[in-house]
Amino acid sequence: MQPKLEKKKNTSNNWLKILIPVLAIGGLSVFAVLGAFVAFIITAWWGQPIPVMGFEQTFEQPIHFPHTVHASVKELDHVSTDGTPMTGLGMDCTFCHRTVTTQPNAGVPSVGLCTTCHKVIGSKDSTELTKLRESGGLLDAASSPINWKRVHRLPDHVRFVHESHITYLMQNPNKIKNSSSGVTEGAAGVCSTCHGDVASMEQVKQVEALKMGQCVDCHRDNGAPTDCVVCHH
Amino acid sequence: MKLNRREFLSLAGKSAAGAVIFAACGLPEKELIVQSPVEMPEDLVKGEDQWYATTMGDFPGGDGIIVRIMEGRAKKIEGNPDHPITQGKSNARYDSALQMLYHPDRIREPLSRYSKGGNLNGISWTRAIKEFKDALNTGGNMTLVTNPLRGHPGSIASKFASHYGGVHINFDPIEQGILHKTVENIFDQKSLPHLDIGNAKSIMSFGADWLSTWVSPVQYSRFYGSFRSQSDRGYFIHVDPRMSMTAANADLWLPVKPSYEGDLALGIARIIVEEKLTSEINIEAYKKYLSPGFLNGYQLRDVSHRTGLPEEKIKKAAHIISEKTPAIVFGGGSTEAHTNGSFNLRAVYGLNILLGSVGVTGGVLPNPSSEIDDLPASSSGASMKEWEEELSHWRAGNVDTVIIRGVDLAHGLPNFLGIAEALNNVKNVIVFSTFEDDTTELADLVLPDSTFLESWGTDIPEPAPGYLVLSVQQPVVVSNSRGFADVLLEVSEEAIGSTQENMITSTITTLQKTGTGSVKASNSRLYKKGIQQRGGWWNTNYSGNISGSYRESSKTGEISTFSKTNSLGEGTEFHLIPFVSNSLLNGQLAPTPWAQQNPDPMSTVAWVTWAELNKSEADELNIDEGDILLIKSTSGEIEALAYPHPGVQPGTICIPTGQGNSKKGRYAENRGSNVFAILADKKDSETGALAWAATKVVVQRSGRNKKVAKFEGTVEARPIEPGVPVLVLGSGETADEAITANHHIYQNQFLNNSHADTGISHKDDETKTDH
Amino acid sequence: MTTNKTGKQNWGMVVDVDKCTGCQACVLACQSENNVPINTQERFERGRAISWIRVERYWEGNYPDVKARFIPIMCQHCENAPCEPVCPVYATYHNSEGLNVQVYNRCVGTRYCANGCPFTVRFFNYWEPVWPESFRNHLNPDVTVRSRGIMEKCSFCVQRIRRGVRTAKKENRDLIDGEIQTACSQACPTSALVFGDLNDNNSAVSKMKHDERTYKLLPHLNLDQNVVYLAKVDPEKKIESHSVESGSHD
Repeated sequence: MQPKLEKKKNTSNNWLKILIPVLAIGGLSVFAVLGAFVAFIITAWWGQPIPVMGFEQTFEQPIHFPHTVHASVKELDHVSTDGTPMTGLGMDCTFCHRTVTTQPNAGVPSVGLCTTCHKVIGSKDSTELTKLRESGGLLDAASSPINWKRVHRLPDHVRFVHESHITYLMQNPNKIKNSSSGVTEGAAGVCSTCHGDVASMEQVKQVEALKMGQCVDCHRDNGAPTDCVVCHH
Repeated sequence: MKLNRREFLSLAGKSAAGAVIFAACGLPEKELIVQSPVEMPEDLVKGEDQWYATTMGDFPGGDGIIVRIMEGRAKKIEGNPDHPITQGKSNARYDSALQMLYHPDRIREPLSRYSKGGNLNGISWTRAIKEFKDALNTGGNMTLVTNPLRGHPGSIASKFASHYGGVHINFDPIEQGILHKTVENIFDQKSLPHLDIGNAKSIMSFGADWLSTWVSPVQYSRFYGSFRSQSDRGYFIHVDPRMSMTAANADLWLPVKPSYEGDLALGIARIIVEEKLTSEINIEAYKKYLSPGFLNGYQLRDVSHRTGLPEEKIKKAAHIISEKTPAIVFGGGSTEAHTNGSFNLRAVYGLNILLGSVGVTGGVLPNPSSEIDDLPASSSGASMKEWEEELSHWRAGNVDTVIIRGVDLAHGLPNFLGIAEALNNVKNVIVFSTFEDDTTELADLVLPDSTFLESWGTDIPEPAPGYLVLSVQQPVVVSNSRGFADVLLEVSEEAIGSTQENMITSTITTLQKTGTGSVKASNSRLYKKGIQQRGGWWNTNYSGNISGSYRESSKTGEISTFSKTNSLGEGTEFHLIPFVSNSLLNGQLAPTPWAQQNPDPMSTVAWVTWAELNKSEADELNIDEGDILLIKSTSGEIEALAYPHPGVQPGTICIPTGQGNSKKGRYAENRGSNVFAILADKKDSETGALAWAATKVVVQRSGRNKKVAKFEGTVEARPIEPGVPVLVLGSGETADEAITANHHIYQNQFLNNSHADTGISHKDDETKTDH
Repeated sequence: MTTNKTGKQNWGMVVDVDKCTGCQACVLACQSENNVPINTQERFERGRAISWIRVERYWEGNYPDVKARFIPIMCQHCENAPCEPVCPVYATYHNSEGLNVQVYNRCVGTRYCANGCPFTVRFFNYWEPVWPESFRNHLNPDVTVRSRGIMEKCSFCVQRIRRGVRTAKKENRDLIDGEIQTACSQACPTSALVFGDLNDNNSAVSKMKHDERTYKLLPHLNLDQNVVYLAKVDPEKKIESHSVESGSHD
């Protein structure tokens, strides 16, 4: 008789031995998930969210396009084909992002615009340029569009119009709030208000949180409409 | 610690759930893409949306439209403000038609059936074209069936048919040539004349639902707006057994007994002649070819008895149209859809001669008969008699190849014709269609047809606005689908032309050489661009003559006949009046959800097939709204939901067209009933056109009831107090006066328990009213 | 008469009931322009169909002297709107241009506003709108696509108004009357719907609002709507003689 009872005790102990760690792990994992969730919410509320699951501030693009080479005026780490160090080309933002003064969206240029120069410019061995030339149909492959990953994104219920902002800031350069390094020439100064110092970015990164609070502050300070329906319709 | 397998799995499951939750909170991949196109599309160059002018091909009227394109996608269709027909206005069909373009159930690739009754399998275009060519090269007889086409598509279709020694036959379930023949007979016009409704002082229309779906509704509605804007507002009389949308807008609705419209017209003519309500010249012109005493057969008392209309109303109509001139009298629709349809319509149009409206502003004006570059400017469906003959050839196996395009033949032809059996005996049935429908069920080869937004084409609007117009249709979205005309040209190996675009370009060059018209340019490339920008070419300089003559024929005065119901068993006999649905037309727009959900103007019903009955009659027969009725004719039986309302003539039952498709996409399939199927074998005695309003049916309650999907509320929509919400004024009354008067009427209903229209209240009557 | 506005424009519409034929062109145009959700038969039967503008049909009399009257009804953009003060989150308000504005992202779905509207022109998304993949191609990018739980209604095509105002500002000129058209007024083939600026004395709507046929819906509610109706004329109507006796009214 005795051995049987003992056995029973042992099995119930076994159950507990397994159950408690399982509960602990389960509880911890739920707590961890909740904690991550809360951390995500808090960071997203106050600024930029934790960069996970598509909420990253910067993405690896299909072709590694360096704004530094094209838009900056500083000396670069890049070297040109003959080995001499390069200086940035200093191109204006609106050379490529042409619809920023006419359309709600700034848009990206077509592949055709890139290949205008890169038909001849740039090394033949560069992997990135080879990808570009393939997209443009300059090499044997058929042409195909480039699917960039969007870095600056506003929700569907916001109707943001670039055109009026660019026009206003170009006419009132003293209103430009440069929240990052002081690039002030041409359109670049205007654009950097919200997009930061893109000219110094090897890979475009979202530096401003682009929250409604920022928009409304600037609107209120500059006499722009604060009527909800102007942006939310 | 040791975990047994079950515990391990459950633990893993919990963390997997966590991972799933996070993944669901993440952003979908495709929202993160911004695309660099290889070349900048036109609308992104300037950064704004682009509007392209084109034409509503395959819809009656040849309306010029503009389409909003953003990033290569069509967003909205609106009327072209520049185009003479639409002038910026649109109708309920434009936006529904847009949904055809991006419909998820469109046929994506050619389909082929290896044997009759087998399944349809997807094949490549190369193979499809080869099969098509093989079918034609066997040398057997060929028939090409299309919707009534004008302009280049019509020209290409006809030329294709004659190239192969075949026949080109048009199909339209409703319009089968009576209108065109009448107009030719009376006015000697090869295409429909221009009705200057905007400047008329009174209008009398018979049967034609011209504000809703008849012929050119956008144009006519524009004219109607001008008609009502005149200082004396114009007077509108409509004659129709059913209160259609057009009838609802009339100042006087004459609910004539079906098929007696001709009698009514001649009765009115007699009154005008007898009482000399118009000038001698007009009376002489009217009676010129009539036998003396012709009008004596249309005495007022007899006409009143036959038409079921009270004498005063007939007299009133006669007085109004002869006093308020210029007056236009026209008709179509159910007026011509009887065995005496031609007689009816001729009597109607003949009245214009009597009223002196032919060739004057505000009356019936000519349209140019000269065609543009030999393109057909007028088209209508072939008569049912011609169709019976054609189908007998098919049934006999005499025709090897039948090509069908732009029509749902199996849906539109009544059951008595046996289309399925006929097509079964045709070796090669080739169908061009955007959706799988009742006709593709019978096809051996199905080719996906482009919508009008994806292909080139031209159309000559009918009726033209009094001068030459060529509407040009251009593709506004890039598409892989092929237009039917281009496929025909390819199959015939360029024997007729290389591509439709090239043929249109050559017509445009011809127009340029005339040196006239709406486009001026220095070279032909710019000229073509100008035409594309304006949506067509028109030349407002036109002066033509028109005169009218009204003649009797051997069938004049023939009594109409209807189909019999004595063999149909139990039930109540009704006169069936089908009507074209405002949203779905004859079924073309049934696949689109916007058309399906759009309430019908008179009943506010959507999504289902309903049968309109007179309210009092329905009460007597114990038919409630929503009762499923079995409607049987000599051709077949359908079901419809009863919808009683006060605007229906007792003894008639009115059912809309368009539903009853076995396929046609998720929104249309197995929905409602097809009223075309049960139309009886009755034809117009002169032309052989289908008398689609001559069917008598037997109606029974099935015992089942279903809630009717209607937009209005559950209570019959009547104003609770007069003038709310629609305030109605008498002539010369102001809104304030009417409101005050209504206030009195409403009060009186409560104050003295007497009839409201006495307008007099008694101070002493203190008793409470019961209401 | 509309109250004085602080904004530059006061948008209003004149609806001529006499010219409305009931053709539903306005209904379809509005649906297309504003991404109004596709409904289903079941929703339609339950009375949940969304239709920012609708054409109502009223019967008068009985056969054979029956008449049917059509009247298009959309948000009246009332100055004293009963829907505006009741929103607990201030998602609907009256802006300085006379529009009754609905802010979609603020709405939490209490539906108190719809409760107050005497014209039933406010619609609630009881279900998540279903847009089959390919139909999303023709969604209007200028208008928010609403999700479940949001109130929506006629906005006088505010996206078109904004665009027109922006364009005029860009080109440094005033707005031209007729330049900004709502989808419904553009589509209406008989020109029964006319849209414009009531503050502009030369605009078509300003002129039409003085017509002797003008009336407003439910005037006893004192809503001060920006939508004015022109009454239907029926030459067959017998004009009631005003035999006004003293003491016979209140």
